[in-house]
Amino acid sequence: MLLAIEPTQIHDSLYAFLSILLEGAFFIFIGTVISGFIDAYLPPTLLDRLLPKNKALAVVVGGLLGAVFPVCECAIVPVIRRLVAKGLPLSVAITYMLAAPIINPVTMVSTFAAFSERGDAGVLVASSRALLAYGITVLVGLVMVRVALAAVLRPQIQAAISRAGAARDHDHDHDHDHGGATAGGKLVHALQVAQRDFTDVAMYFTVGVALTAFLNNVIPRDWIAPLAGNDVTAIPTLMVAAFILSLCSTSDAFVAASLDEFSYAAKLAFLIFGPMVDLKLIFLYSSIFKPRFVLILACVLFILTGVVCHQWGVFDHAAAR
Amino acid sequence: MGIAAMLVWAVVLLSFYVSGRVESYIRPEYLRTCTLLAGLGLLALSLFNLRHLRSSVSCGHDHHHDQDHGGCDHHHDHDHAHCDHDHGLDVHDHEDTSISGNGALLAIMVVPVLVSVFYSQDRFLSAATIRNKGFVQDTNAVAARVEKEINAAAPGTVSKSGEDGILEYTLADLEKVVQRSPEGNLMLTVDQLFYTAGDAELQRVLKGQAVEAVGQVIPDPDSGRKNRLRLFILMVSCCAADAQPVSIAVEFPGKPPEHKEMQWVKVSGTMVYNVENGQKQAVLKAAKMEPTKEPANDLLY
Repeated sequence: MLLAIEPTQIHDSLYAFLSILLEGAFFIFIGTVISGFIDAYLPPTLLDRLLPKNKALAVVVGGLLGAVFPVCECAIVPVIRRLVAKGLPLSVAITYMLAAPIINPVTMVSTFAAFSERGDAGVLVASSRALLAYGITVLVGLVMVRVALAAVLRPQIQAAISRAGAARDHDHDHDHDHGGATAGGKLVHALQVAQRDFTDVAMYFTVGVALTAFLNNVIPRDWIAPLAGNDVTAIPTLMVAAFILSLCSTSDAFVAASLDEFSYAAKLAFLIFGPMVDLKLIFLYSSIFKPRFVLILACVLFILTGVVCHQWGVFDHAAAR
Repeated sequence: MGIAAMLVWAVVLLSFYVSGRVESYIRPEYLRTCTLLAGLGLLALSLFNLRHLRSSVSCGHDHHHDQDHGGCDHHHDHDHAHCDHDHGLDVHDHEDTSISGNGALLAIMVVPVLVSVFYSQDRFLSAATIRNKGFVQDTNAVAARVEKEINAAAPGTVSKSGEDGILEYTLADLEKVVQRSPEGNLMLTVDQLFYTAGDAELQRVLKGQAVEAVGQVIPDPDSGRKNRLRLFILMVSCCAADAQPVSIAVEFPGKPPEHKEMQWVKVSGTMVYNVENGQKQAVLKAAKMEPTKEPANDLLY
């Protein structure tokens, strides 16, 4: 089981690295431009006004935001980073961040298409993927309601939240000249923020992609095949595979559908866990959250997804009889 | 430094788009346009921020004053007219969430990209990488594409009725959509031949037929036969990193002719179908294998 790496595989890793980078650059760019405009144009009080006052209800709504504002997992991170800094409750932000790459129309259609193409029940897979992901993310969000910001967020994000909070509390009845609040000034600000967010996020993205590209090429897929026979091993195996492969949520279903030796429950675990936690996302999340929290979140999601998908598989078998 | 790093990314993206190199990396239909848009967007953003560099540095007041004064009700009396941002919305965080130091930024964001641009060969070079990716086993993986290509004969025009009265797929049907080479071989693609292993009708039609196909070759140690190679092409969902090889076995009467691993070859021979490890396999009994040029569309999207 030792990894033997040939020199040409380094070239192959550079090739794979660039391919993921070329694919992801657009989505990160869009995410960071949105984040810049959020910062410049979204009043901090607006989120408070729009979201339900009840925190649990806000989390429930947060899990569905992806259906209205579809964003993939690369683009969501800079957006969330800025929304949290603007005062979006952490519990809602995390729910939206985890759910949006799965509960969005593009992902649901591609899941349906990938499984239908093979004569599988595309509607069932797409709907159960969305339903289970929604349940898991809302559950995590509800737990996050009770978690203190300081335990979770990087100090820079906490400082930004403090400033946003101060601005909300601040009496805006200033009598000095805010010439900078002109449309032009706001645009300059939005694009400066977008640039800074892009470089921050791209830095983490680059590290994550480099690791993904390397591992993707050197770890034999044959290793996972013997573990396919039993859900107890198959489900975690495919979740680890999803973590390493770091596929885009809009196309991962095509890979999952091809894993014929694995059960429906294991494929669901692959499709749910991957868009929430993968190697490149670990680095992207680290631009918002403390590393310890990222680790805990990844472990919790791993266990939760595994258990939920396993039970879903048991239920599905029982229903099929 | 951030602007410089973004400019590097913009130039890389645009050069890949303009040179067409991007098509060896990502699904061209829609992601090619995304590369152009990202390149142009990053270029515009970099140049815009370069032009307005002074507007952020000329703003010399205390950027943490809102923290210092949070919740207070005093009146500011200094002049912010020169300052291009909005205090009222607390967009006063020029570096509030920035975590990338200049040196780290250059090392992490730019160096790996430039190294990859210069050293990547725009394709996979190693047979080990291909084997690690795992050969596609399920013929349904290519069903949508192949059924469109080789089952495209108009029903009833060529097909004949079988014993049960249902139209049978015939060689004439296949010849309507597949050309023959000057040597008389049916010119099929590797994914089409792979697909036939899961389609009994096509097997009936193709078994014993002279065919030829173009692909890359690597040894096939898993088969346990020294006279076998695997002929493959790469199928890509989104980008080259998710590529999976679609393959058929190529069997020679004796030792395979001299070849390089990963070389593009044209193989001609006769199709047979064997059951191996409990699964039907498409095997091309090769009569001839010759090096050929890498096709323009080397990746199967």
